[in-house]
Amino acid sequence: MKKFINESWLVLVLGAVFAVLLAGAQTSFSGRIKENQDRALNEAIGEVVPGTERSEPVPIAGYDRDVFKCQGGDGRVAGWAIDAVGLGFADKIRLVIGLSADGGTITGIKVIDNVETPGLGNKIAGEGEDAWPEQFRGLKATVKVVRVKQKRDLARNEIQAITGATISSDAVTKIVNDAIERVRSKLPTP
Amino acid sequence: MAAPTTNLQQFKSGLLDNNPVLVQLLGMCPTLAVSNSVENALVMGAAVIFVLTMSNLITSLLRNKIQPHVRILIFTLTIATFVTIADLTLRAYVFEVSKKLGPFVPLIIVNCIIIARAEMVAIKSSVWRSLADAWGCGIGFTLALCILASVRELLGSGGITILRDAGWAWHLDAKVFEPHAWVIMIMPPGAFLTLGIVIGIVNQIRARGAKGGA
Repeated sequence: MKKFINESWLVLVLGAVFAVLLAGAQTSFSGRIKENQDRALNEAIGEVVPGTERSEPVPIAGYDRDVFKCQGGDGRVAGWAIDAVGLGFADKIRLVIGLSADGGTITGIKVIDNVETPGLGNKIAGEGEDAWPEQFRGLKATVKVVRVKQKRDLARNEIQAITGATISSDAVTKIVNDAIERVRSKLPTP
Repeated sequence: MAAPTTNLQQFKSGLLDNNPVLVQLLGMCPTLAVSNSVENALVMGAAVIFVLTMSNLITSLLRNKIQPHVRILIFTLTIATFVTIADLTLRAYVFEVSKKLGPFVPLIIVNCIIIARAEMVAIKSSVWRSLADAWGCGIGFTLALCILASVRELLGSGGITILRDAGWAWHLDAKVFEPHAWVIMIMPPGAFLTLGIVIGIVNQIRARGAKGGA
């Protein structure tokens, strides 16, 4: 026992001191980190549901993440934003899916968290008009989105996979399809 | 090359002659991964400087109390703690960049540069010597990353971003240089190409310097 204490006291003491340090850092930064995350979420909602002025979560039976009712300036429902998460190539992918007010059309998707391979898989979070997620804008929400590879003429509701990142492309497609399937029919009438 | 004898030499050694990235070829994983923009390189460099400083400082302060066979455990414990603090700080204050760096900040825990400095210098040197070493190596690492990132970002995205939030970003005229013509430079192959060429140039300079000095 004495030998054990002699050889390990420093590890034990350091462990305790570092634990206190970490707890301090966690408490002092967690508020700010939460704020950053909320802001990112709100920006994403505004992007996937055009015309959103404010949004509030609505409960959807059987769906454990948030679904937001997005309202425009005139109080009318501009659309719905679904917070969805699923497994990607490296780790979880979190994204926001926008649906039109009648729930029939995908108005956009936006990936807010991902650690997919830089340069390949992380194109799922690309920004700008030619970015990969733009393919989802305007697709029908009533039927499944289908992922195809290197196909010339896309049929309805087909999206092109990212070259070299089929798994990431599939993951996003699956998350979108699953979330829409679970939420769409249960949306309250606006 | 003689072993550094003064603190200043220790500092300079990490910066140039013993640059952790360009000469020792350590820490290749973050080097290749985050050198696609100067902003990423600077933030990553700052995180490494912070962790390296704290790890060398604590190792050096405790150097007479650390039992040799648990030293690696203590290094890892120290490094992991300060990497976590650095990661939380980045997520609180530079959220966008920290999202881009993704797993590479937490991965500083297993960055061999830091454990190598603790093992080779801090465990057997005075506090000032260890700090000089940490800053030399940390700044050397940042410098190497910034050199790679400037080349890659300029060619791959047609501009340089130092700090997006402060508006410190410059872009070449799209008429002169098509921004994404060389997009391969910000992708993984560009990292290897640039690193190889920069290491080649550094070796050339060092070889000449050695000849001139002899």
